[in-house]
Amino acid sequence: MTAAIETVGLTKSYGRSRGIVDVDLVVEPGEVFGFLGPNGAGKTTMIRVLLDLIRATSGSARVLGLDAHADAVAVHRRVGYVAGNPALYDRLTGRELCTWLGRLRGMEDAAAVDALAERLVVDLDRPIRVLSTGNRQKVALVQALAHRPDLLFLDEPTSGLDPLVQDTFEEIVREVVAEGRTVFLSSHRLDEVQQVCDRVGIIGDGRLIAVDRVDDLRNRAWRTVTVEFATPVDGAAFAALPGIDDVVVEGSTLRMRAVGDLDALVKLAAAHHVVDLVSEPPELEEIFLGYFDHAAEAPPRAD
Amino acid sequence: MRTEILARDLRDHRRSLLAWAVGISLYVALIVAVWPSIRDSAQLTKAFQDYPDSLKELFGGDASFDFGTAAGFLNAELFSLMYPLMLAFFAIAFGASTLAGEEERGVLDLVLAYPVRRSRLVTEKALALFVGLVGLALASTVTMLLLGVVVSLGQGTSELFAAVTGSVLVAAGTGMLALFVGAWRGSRAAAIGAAAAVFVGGYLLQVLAGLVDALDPLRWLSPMYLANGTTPVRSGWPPAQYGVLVAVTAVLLFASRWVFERRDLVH
Repeated sequence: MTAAIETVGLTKSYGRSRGIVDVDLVVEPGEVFGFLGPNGAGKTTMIRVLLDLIRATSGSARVLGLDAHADAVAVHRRVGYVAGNPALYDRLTGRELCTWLGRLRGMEDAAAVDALAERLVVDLDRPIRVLSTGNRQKVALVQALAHRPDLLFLDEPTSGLDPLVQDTFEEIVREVVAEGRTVFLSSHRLDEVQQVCDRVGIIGDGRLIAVDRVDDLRNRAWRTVTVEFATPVDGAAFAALPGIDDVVVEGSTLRMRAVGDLDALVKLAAAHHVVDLVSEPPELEEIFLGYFDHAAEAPPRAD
Repeated sequence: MRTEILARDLRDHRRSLLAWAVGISLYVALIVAVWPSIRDSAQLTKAFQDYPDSLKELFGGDASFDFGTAAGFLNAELFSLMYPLMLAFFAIAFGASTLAGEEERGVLDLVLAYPVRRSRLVTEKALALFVGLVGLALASTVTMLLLGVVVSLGQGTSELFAAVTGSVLVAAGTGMLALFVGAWRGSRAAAIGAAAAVFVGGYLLQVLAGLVDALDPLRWLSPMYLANGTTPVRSGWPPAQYGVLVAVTAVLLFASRWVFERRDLVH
């Protein structure tokens, strides 16, 4: 089957350092692919190159089997796009905007627009300029989803959405992929990516550092685990466990870095009286460090 | 041809278009309304004829200072500067905001992620500019004609149309220049600055060329000379001058399409 997105050596250099460097990526149809990285890592640049809003310096990009640049109009017929903090025609109402954009696409679907607006709870009859950031985001989602695109580009889609709407958003994303369509979303939030994505590409400083299944992502990241016991315990026994590192004993409290599953740690701790146990979810930076450590150890890639 | 973008642009500018149409028409009406009192004042005509040459050139040359005819009066008061200036003002603002302005606001990111070729976007926006200009010209010309009947203006209609056309062409050209600079640089300020500089610089060049014989051939570099240098409100249609304006505008349109297809959108 044709990949939804396929890039080879994709590079976009600006005069300054920002951009993307030598990105090789394949996104399969029917998956939710998360593009995870800190702000300024190149996530938006990647999406803008794939949409032909900016042009690659070198390398190739194919979207839905078509060349992202040469076949841009054909690609755009089949994709939807929500920019981060999207700019819209502020003087129009949401409905006027969606109607006009539908006409631009040659596919007006008022019923689909209304249904989406109802689900996302946004009033399409108010001028866009009076809407809150979250509601503007919803209008942008409505226009991107209404024509049932084969591929959806979402740049930081849930920033500004309240938690209830985020649930609806996740529901909609799952429906999209259930129909075999594809979602490519960028985010700097690990929890967001973990909740909706099947696979994740990690990008730092314009380079694709790793591509992993979401489930594996967690396991590769160091977490900080703190166990508070009723009485002081021997730290050395814990330090000897596989995947445990940097053990610090403070009175009856034990703090350590853990990678992989916590089964051995919990079983050893259970021999003592455990007062409290905290496993702090990894920060994005820690995940990066985990991957950078790994990349340093790994042999050079054969391809 | 598809026209969604053209229609969107005109709708977005409908208030500004209406305001400009009313403003220009009022100005034109005022000028035409005072004509009878000027016509009947031989003294005023004589006073103007004694003006120094440099001052006369600023208001359209000798031809303007024949206040004995409506053509001379309209040339001095409208077509030598104010009428094309007002139209160019509108055209430059429109040409700069319609492409570079929308790009700076980020809204072209949305539009160009739709199945819209960039050259089509540029063409429709240029057409919106031209349609807007023709609308303003029609409103003000109808005002001139109607009020002209009331005050017995005595101005030949064909020559009037010729002069209005010259003003529309010079405004279309400078507006198209603003659109081109916007398509090339993505900056509204650069677009306005470049187009305004060419309009004002061209006007000054025409004035200087009227005073210094050696500069005479350089008149052809002045958009204002091309529009009104032959005093069309008296002498009728100048095909060569208008042809140059049309050709330059067309070249700018194709250049805009070309540069805009080939660059990154500003973010």
